[in-house]
Amino acid sequence: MRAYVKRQEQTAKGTININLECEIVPVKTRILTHRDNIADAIKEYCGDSITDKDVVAVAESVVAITQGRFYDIADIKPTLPAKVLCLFFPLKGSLSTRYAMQKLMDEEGTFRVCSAFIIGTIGKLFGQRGLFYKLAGNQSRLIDDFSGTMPPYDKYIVFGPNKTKEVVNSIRDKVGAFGAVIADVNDLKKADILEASKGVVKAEISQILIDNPFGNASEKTPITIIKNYALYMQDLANQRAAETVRLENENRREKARLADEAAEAEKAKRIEAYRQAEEKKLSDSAEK
Amino acid sequence: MSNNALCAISNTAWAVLIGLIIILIFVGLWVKHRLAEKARIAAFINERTALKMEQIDNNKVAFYTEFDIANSGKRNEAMVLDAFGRSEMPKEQYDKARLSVRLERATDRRDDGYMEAFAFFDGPREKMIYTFTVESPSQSILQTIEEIKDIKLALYIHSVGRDDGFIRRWYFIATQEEMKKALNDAGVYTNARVC
Repeated sequence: MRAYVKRQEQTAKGTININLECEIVPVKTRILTHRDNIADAIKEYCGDSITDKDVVAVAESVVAITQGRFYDIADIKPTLPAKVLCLFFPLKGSLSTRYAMQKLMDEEGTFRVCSAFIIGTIGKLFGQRGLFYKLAGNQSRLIDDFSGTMPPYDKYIVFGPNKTKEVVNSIRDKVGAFGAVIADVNDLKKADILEASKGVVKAEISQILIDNPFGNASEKTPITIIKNYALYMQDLANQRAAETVRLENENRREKARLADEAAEAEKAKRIEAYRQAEEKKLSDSAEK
Repeated sequence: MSNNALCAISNTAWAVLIGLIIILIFVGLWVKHRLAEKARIAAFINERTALKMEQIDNNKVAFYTEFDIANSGKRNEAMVLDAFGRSEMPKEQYDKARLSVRLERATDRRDDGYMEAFAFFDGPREKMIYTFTVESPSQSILQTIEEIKDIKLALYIHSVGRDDGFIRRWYFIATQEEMKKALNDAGVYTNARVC
């Protein structure tokens, strides 16, 4: 499978076109559970196919599940604030049930969530959307309600992962990759990179994963290898340099063209002035 | 009145006003909480299709029926966390047969007995397929169908919406006549004899 990255970048010298591609390999696994260690699982399924130029991307929900961050409805006792607040969230969102809201309050603090809700509501009145998710903590964006994760975790509320830096570093070290990332990708062309190991550019990985190589839940491909990422970045740098040179040349040519045009205009102006002066001279002599 | 007195009255008025606003907000939240629509799962078990035979061999027969479920709450989403069927025929009632039940969504049939959680809004119905298997290791299945009485079958649905999660239960009866008719329709059974 190949990922095609096409975009325009604004630089001080102008707009440059980036047109790159790289190979991405979705890895099929069994269902990973809280009994698995994510780094060991990647080692098990990817074996020696990962080189020191590759980046390993792993789905955030799978990392969370291997960390045991999922909760059964029977273990959650919703409180009144959770029962009330959940009513203000859209039905299709992950915080529309009192159970998900209660778990968010347990994780991030009831006061923090309630305060974020009040400030978010006021913000919304003044046209500032999304304040709640900024203020209520990371988990407010990452939480998956019932039916939001693949079976058998579809009957649980699943949080986002924690200790993400440690996780990506352990994956990178375990499999000997160039780097590792934890990604939250969906089919709506949205790819958030939660964490990346040193040397990996989140924005680039986000562009590469935009078409969701993890697939939907039933495809069981929670791991994706981005092949030759280091070379991709080298290509990107080369392309940026080449595009910058092209822009400089274009700018130089444009400047030269403008200078030529200015010189032509000046010349025409001088000729016109000379012609007018000559005409004036002729008319003066005729009058005399 | 002095300026101080006016200022004190003004402060009191502000305090009362702010207090009233806070009380109003809480009352509003409470009213919204009380009036919030609840998800209600309805199973149209009385409108189920007639039993049909799915498969048969010497000692085993499987029948199935189809019916719809729906979210009858208004402006609300219901999430079905689990749904399953059970036979209510104990061995004390009839000990020559064992019953097992499988429940599936018509749009997501699977053979592992697992019901994947799914969400649906009020309005569209979801078709379910309820399959029950009668197994009689000690004698012919047709003999068993001759002897067996009506079978009581249950449907359980565990769902959650804006309100607390709850489990609802429905029953239906698969009568001996209906089972015989299903066999008859499948052409394997006529007047208590194998074709």
